[in-house]
Amino acid sequence: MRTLKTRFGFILVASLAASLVQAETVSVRIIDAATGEPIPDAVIELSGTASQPVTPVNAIVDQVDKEFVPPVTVVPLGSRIRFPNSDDILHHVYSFSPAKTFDIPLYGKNDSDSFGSTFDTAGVVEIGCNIHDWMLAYIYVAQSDYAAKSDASGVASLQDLAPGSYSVKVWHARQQDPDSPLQTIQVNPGVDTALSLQIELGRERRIRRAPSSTRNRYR
Amino acid sequence: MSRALANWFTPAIGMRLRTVLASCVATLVPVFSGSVSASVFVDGSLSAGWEDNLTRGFYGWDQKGSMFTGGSLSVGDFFQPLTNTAFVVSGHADYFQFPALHGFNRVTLGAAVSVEHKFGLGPYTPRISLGASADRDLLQGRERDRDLYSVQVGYAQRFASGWSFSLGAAQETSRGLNERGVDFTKLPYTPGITRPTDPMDYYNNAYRAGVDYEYSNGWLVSLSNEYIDGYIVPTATPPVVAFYSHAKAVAIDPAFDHLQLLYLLKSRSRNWGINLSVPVNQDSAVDLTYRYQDIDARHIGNYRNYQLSLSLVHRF
Repeated sequence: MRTLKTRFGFILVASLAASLVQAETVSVRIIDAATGEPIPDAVIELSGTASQPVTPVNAIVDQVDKEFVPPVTVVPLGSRIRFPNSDDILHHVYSFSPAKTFDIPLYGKNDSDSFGSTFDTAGVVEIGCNIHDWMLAYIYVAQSDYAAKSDASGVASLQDLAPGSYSVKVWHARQQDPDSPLQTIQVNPGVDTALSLQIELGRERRIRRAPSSTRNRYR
Repeated sequence: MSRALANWFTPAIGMRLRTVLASCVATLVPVFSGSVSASVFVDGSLSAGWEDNLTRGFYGWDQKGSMFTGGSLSVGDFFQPLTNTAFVVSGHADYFQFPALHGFNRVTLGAAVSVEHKFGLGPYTPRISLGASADRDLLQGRERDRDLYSVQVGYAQRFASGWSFSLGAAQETSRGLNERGVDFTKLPYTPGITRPTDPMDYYNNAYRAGVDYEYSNGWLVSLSNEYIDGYIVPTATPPVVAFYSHAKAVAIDPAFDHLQLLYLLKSRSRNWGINLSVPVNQDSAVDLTYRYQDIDARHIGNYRNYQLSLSLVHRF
């Protein structure tokens, strides 16, 4: 059994800026250190000295056209996630990750409502389909509500944070350095914080989906 | 090792395997088709390229090359009746034309079944496969028409990020469809000695190994090597006594207007291949392929063939 060890970490901090606004919002823009392009589906998590709210949610990771949708899901501890199958074919969802190991063999569209699981250990859970090897998705189980993923413009935002000092951790599925230092920020009452972080990305871990003349087997 | 396998993998064994496999599939497919979802798939490809020694000629003047264009369409059903075991049943139709050698223009209709088992979960898990196929090749030069039966076993594993390898063995049995008599008295051979006239009747044992490397951007480079212990069917003009004395069969080659002969010769071939596959989107790719064939026709000598092709591969 392969250990699904996510290589994560971040490289360096670029800049820290603050401006006066009404609510305490932290916005982190994640940038590819090599290209300068924004990185979607990166996750930021803030941890501070004060107690942080943990509000479990119900989430869905669907399977559409032989892909997991969405590819990255961020939930706080104790959340429940279902894995419906919206395709007309069978899928076989599994995870080897230490944060959550499970195996949901061979189910179809009409079976999908019953397959779900509670995620009560913080960490990254990598899920795959044992029939379609290119299908890959990540569930980021955060210690608290203070975690978010970046959008298409590379920006992840957290709102209504309690004032105080926080360390910011960044995770991405292709992140190079798993032991990168944390960035510390100070959230002050009535002040928004904007942060820009650069990370180095490693090779794409998804297996190629496109057919080839040497791989003409159905998958 | 390969010799031992070759000795074991006789046509009789192959025939028995085909029978067993066909029985299993005939039994299992109806059973499972009602209880599990099947995934219908349609794959297509368009190709163009050059084959250097299409005639498999030994002498330089017999080595005829040609451009070729063609396409292939396959339709199949994928059944997953057990957690880690899948069955694939498919049929295909191919058409290839060779403008310089019309006699080699070919239509192929075929069917295949295979069963594949994964030893666990995940893309790094080793998998084995057992398959059988039956193809009918119909050529413009009808003497080469044949049925081609094949049974294959395979092992494949992704062993590192981007890297995977495969091993396999196959037995191919060719059966000619349009055997024509040859008037040996009109050939400059030893009077009274004749040969069978069915050069498309033979079998090959093939042993394959391949390595793939997948780049981060999805480009895929595949290297393959294949050792084939069996037969080769070269064409020759004028009639060659050396070929005739070692040939298992002789026929008039219908691909040419003038007198040219087909010989069935025992041979060992080593085939090398390199393929670069560039994805166009998630369901299509453009493949550039080079194949080199080193043919050792027993008692005759070594010669070669190569093929260069460009293909568009699409999964509908």
